[in-house]
Amino acid sequence: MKNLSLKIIGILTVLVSLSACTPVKPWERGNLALPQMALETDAHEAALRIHAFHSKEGSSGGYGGGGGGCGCN
Amino acid sequence: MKRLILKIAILAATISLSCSVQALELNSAAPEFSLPKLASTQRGSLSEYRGKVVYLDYWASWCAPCRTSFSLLEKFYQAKKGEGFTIVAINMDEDIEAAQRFLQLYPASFDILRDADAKWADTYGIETMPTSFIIDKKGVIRHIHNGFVKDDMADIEKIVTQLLAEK
Repeated sequence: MKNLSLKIIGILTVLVSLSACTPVKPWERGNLALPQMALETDAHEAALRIHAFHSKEGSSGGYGGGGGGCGCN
Repeated sequence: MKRLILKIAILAATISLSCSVQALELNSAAPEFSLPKLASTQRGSLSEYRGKVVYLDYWASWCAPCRTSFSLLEKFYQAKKGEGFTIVAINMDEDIEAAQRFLQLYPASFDILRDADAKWADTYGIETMPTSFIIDKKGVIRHIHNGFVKDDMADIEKIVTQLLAEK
């Protein structure tokens, strides 16, 4: 039983480190910064919708970051 | 068998933990780089600028704040270049033509180098675009600036002026 759980831990650790997720370096974010990569297709419409939501609910934020990932806006 | 599994697990955990970037610290010596210039076949290195206050700027054409920074930095460079100040901008674009197009829109007369392999960007621990380092006359990093908005220029001017006054 102990042997089995050790095996499972080992396999899980290897699987986690083999995952396809990798940090994107700041200088590799050129494609992410393209307008077509934005989650919203129309930035003006999204801004208007967020503004209306903010006025109605008295709360704002949580809509994601701006700038497509350059980490500086 | 048990030991082998443990060894594999430790190795895998070490590999997954070893990806973090070590950023440079303030008051440490700026790493000496040698990089090709964007507009010519010549190379530029940090030691060439020793004795000057250097504003080292990592930028890319797709970086929105770089559009703001370039015109302001060019003005500042023109005003202070006679006093021992210089700007060295290191381009990080994958596509050199994108950088050239950017420079047609936002012309700059200071030196522009290219770190296509991102070797020095890694050494300098760049975490955002743009990131800039203000390096004093002795080659020591005195200020690290992440990102750029128009209002940052006042702080940058203040720091550069202070460093220019140092011997």
